[in-house]
Parts: sequence; C-alpha cells; structure tokens
Amino acid sequence: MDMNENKTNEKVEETRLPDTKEGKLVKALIGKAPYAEGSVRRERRVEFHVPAERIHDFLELASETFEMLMQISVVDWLKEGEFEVVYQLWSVSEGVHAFVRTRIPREDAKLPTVMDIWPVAETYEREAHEFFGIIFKGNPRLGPFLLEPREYEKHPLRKDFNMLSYVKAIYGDDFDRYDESKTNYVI
Amino acid sequence: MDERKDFGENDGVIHYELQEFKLFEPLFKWARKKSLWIVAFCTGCGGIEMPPLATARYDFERFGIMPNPAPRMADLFLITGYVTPKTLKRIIITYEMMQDPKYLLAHGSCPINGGVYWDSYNVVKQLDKYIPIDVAIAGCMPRPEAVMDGIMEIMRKIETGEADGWKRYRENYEYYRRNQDKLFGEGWREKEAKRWLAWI
Amino acid sequence: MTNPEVPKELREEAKGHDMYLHPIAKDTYELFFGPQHMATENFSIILKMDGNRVEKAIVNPGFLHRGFEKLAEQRPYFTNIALLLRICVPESDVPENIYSMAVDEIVGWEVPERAVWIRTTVLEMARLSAWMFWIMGFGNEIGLYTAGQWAAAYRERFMRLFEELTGGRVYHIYTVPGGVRRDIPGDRWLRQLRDTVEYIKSKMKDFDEILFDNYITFERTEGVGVMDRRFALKHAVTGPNLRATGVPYDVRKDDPYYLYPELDFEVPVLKEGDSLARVLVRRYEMEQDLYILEQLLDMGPPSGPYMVQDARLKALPRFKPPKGDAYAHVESTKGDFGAYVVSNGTHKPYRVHVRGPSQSHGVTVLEELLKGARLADVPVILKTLDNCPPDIDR
Repeated sequence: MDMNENKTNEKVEETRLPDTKEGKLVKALIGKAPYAEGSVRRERRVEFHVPAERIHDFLELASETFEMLMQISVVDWLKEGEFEVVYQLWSVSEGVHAFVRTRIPREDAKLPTVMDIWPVAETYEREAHEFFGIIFKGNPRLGPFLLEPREYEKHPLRKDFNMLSYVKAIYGDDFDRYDESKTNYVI
Repeated sequence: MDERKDFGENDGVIHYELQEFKLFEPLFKWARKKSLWIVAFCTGCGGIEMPPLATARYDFERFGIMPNPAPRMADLFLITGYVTPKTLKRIIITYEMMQDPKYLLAHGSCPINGGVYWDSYNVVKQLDKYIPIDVAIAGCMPRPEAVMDGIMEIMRKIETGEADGWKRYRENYEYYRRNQDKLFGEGWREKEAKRWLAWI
Repeated sequence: MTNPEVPKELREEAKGHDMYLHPIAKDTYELFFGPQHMATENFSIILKMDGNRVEKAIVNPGFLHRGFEKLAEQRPYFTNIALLLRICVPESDVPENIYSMAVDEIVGWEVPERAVWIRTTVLEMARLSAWMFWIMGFGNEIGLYTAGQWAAAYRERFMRLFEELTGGRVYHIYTVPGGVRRDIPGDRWLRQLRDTVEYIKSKMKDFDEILFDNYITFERTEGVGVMDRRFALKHAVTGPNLRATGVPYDVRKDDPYYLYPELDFEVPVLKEGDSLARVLVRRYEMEQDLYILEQLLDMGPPSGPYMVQDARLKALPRFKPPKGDAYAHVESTKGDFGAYVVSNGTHKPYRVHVRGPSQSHGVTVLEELLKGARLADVPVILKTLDNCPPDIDR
C-alpha cells in the first residue's frame, strides 16, 4: 500500500524473499530489472513497484512469465496528488498473480501504452482514460467508451468528482430522497 | 408540403376519434388486449426474468403475449430495469418507431425513482418525464408473478381505455421533447447516428 | 467494363453457359447491430459490411453503465453487497463472492467451515443455473428453441432452491464478508438439491440429443470464430473460451479457493478453438459441475457457525477493516471474474475495481473474431463467447 514502506536497499530485499516458487520468480525478474522493487505478499500473490518511466520495459520483461494482463486498476490518491496504476498480471504457467504498481502525478497523468505487448490492454486503457483521464500514449482509441460525452468530460471516478452535486444539477427535481422532515437525505 | 394534400383533411394522421372507428372500438379493444406483442428490447437487469415468463413455468403466451423482434409490429414495450441516458436514446427512438396504439410497462423500482442507483451519475431518475408510462411495477427485481400482475393490469386498462400513454405522448409531445432535449442536448438524434461513422 | 476482381475461370464458365457476369462495384454499408436485437442484449456492434461478410466491427458498449465503482465508494462495506451483485445478472453470486473474499483477506478473517461449504455449493448452483441460461440463449440463437424451453424450465428448479435458501430468485444478497447471511433451511433443502442434481443429470442425455450432438449445431458452429492459443493469451481470454484453445487454466485448480482443493474434478480442454469447441467445453463442464455438487452433498455441511465470530460485526454500518488491498477471483461460467478492493481504514471502501471476463471477450476479441464472418455467424460468435454486457459496463 505505502510506497515508503518498501524503500529498503537491495540486500535486505533479497533476504526477505522466501525460498518458494514465488520468491524465485520475483528474484529472477528483479535480477533482469534492477530498477524495480519486488516482494511476495502471500502464496500466489507477488508485488512489484516500478517507476513510471520504466513501466513499459518492465512489463515487456514480465510478459515472458506472466502471459495474461487481467486488468489495469487505477486508484486515485487525492491527498498525495497521485494516481496509482496497478497492472494485474496472471501467470498461467506458474499460477501466480502479480500486482505491478506505479505512481504518476494527477495533473500530468501520462503513461505509455502496453497494447503492443497485450492487445487487450486497449480496452483497459480506454476505460482508465475514460474514468480517470490518464492519457496512454500510443493508444489510438482513447475517447468516450462507456459514457456519453458529457459524463466523459468529468472523468467520474476521480475522487474530486462530487457525484451528489452533479446528479442534483442534471436531474434536479427528480432527485428526491429526503426524509419526512425534508431536511436530511435518506440512503 | 404539397405532398400532404393527397391525404386529404386528415393530414396523413388517422384520427381514432372518428365516428366510423368508434363503432368498432369495443372489438378493437378486445383484440388489442388479447394480442400484446412485446418488443424484444430488454433493458437493464429485468431482462433475466423474461425467459422464465416466456417458458413453461409462467408461460405468458397463454395471454396472447409474444416477444417480437421488430418494433413496428409490437404493441407493448417492457422497460425491464434501470435506464441509462445512452439506453434512453434508443428507447425513445424505438418507442417512436412503434405503431399506435402502444403501451409501456415499467418494470422495477429504477424507472420510477432511480431505485438503488438513486445517486448514480449515469441512471435516469424518473422515466415518466421522457416517455409516458402506463403501468409501473415496483420491486427489485419484481417476481414473474408481479410482472404477470402488471400485464393483467395493462389489459384491464386497455379495456377501460385508461392506457392512453400513446395519446399523452402525442398531445404533450412538446413537453416530452423539451425534457429529452434538456437531458441530451439539442439535435441528439442526428448526432448519435453520425458519431460512429468516423470510426468505420 | 469488366470487373478485375471476378476470377477468370468464373468469367469463362459463365460465358460457356451463355451468361455474362455483371461487374459489381465493391460497395460497403454500415449495419447497426443492437441494442434492440435478440442476440446482443443491451450491447451494440457497428458492422461495416461487404455484402454478407463483415469487414470491420466496432463494439459500442455502455448501455448498462451505472457507475458501480463510484457508488461502492459511497456506501458502507456490507451495503455494497446489495449493489455489486448486480454486475453479473445471470450469475449474481459471483460478484458477491469475489468482493467478500477480498474483504475477508483484508480483514484477515478465516471463514468458518460451514460458511465455506455453503459458499461453494451456492457458487456451483449458480454455475449450473447460468449454464441453463446459456443453453437457452444459444439454443434460441441457432434456432433450436426446444432446448431453450427445456433449459429455462430446469433453471426454475434452481431458482426455487435459491429462493428457499436466500429469499431472492435472481439477486440473492447472500454471501457477505465473514460468512453467509443465513443458515441452510434444513435437511429438506439438501434433499431437494440432490433431487434437482439427479434430475438435471438424467436430462443431460436429452440435451445431447437435441443440442450438443445435433447436426445443426455442428454445421452452425464448426470453424466459426477460430482463435488460437497465442491469440487467446494475448487477449486475456479466460474460462471455457480459453480452455477451448488448449490451455488448461481454471481458477478453481490454479488459484484454489474454498473447498475446491478437496474436490475431485477435471478441467476439460479442447484444442480447436472454434465455436464448436467452446460449446463442447461448456457441455463437459456442466457434467463436472453436477459431479462437484454430488460430492458436496455427500460431504454434507460441516457443523458450526455460518458467520465469523467478531465483535466488530455488532455495528455493521460502522464496520471498519484495516488498511490494505486484496485481489480475489473466482471461476464463473464466463471466465475469470476478479475484484480488487482497496481499504484506507474508513467504513467505506476506497476503491473497488471489478474485472469482468467479458471485458476482453466482448471488445477486442469480438472485434477480431467478427472480421470476415458472415452476418448469420455474428450471433453464434456472440453466444459462444458468452458475452455478458454488464461485465463490460459495470
């Protein structure tokens, strides 16, 4: 969760890795990509922290063992002013799930596309772009995907998008969820 | 419009209030009630209760109800669940394609006031503002028995002439059109069709 | 003017019969397929057609987008169950389970044995009822309506069992973090479940005769929408669609959860990768699911509590898990269904992200497979991929 927690030097990192298939997998990958930090979370779950500028190189390396890109999850950390982009990878041969985490600033949210590694990333990137406004350089189909253009411009899954006030502005009178005293909202 | 003159004083619109039609009105009502064809457009989650309704256990074909792919030949439009603005555009176009008289049955809590999605940014809160609803069934999701009850209710309303949503839509077209344009913006019908041609 | 695209032999053959082949200018047109269409269900494809062949397909989803992920951030943990299960309508237990599993992992709860048994049974029942629903849709698509009528009727048996167990027909709101919401009604329910399993098992032969071993099914599906193993992996195809290309990946085996490590079942794999292989893999899996349910019933529910014992559960709306995140996934009939839940220590989740299998099946894979297909094959490809639009839209 917290990046600072994992900022330990490499020697400690290596000793922390357990002697299991997950530990060996992480060790092999870290050996090829020294800029990344890796750890084992539990059985069949491993985790990598990668700086945003090297994410494409790292995923290209990782795609040899992790054949499938299951999802690109974005978490909006509003207080820190950062988007956390989590590439969820699955290795069919090893049976291990990997979180590849990277952080990018909210104001200048740009990442290279991974469509050339996994063509399915096109859909995930379109979705992440639509809901958070992250620009994936090289993806030709960014734009309104699931939403209408009006909602698309707001990037609704950002934490600073206030849903209640938006719904009130659009639907106005229809939006009636007051209690009997007409003072409080009822959920 | 010179071509319009060919239709005579009716302006190309058949007025059901004419004397000749009134004579046969009871027969028409009976026929309409007993052969409700449904547009096969299952919006939202309620579509999953359609197959049980159409098959052995609840079998609505015994009431003369049948799903039909073409909106031109359908009488009954089931709004089976929440409606997003994107779907509402298609619903309006499909509803306008249907021939008069047409009936609209809203299924579930969501078309009434948003239901569970009361604060969602992408769900239409009150469907009645955009198209006229004849019968609404509450519940999430309504059991097939409740839907059958709603269909019986619409049959009763056809018999008594209370199911007049299609007349309301024609008479108050300005009101409905204003609400639709307010939600989607002016000229949405043309824009929606053109939006996709750039991709092809 | 002669058309250079008409092959020479054809032209000469036509001349031999005193005929003349008229040059046809290559003309394409756009076809808006859905959402008002029996096969697509709230999903639209814009097809660029060249005569009867699809030249290019553009998928236009989003008719069911309700913003679940945003709504889940506004509601407490336990309320979210009633919301998130609407993501997968034919198999609504799957989103409940992935969300509950992820929250269990964040909190560190060990779900009691009885609850684990109930959850496994409910998931398998949901799988079987979803298979029935799929048979109905697929049978109707290729014109075998009888199979559809039977399947919808047999599905009602599961609906009745679900109703007795949970109180709801379609949406159960049953699996909650820490266990399940209520106990099994009694031995009668277990007996009814066994009867249902036996009944469906006896009916599998009928389905074989009318659908799976039918000449029409073979003619309609063989060689339609072929994908290979490499393509499937690059496009994150999961579930029966992946197993039809020769990759034996099943979440129940490869990332086991609940009681699956103790259960004995096989993962059927075919190599062809066409629509027929996808249909047959589903048919074999149905058999395995019946077998799993039989084993579960033989095992019987272990005694004990059906909900975890925790003081925090006394005040549910203010229930706060610790900081953390977790990814959980289960095998649904459509594929690998996953949820990523992030908690920041408050009583509402910070982020819930659901991975629906149709996100890959229904967009990039479908667009690729439709290229060059005939118009009549479009519904077949859609149904054999088992594309479920609410997964994509959420």
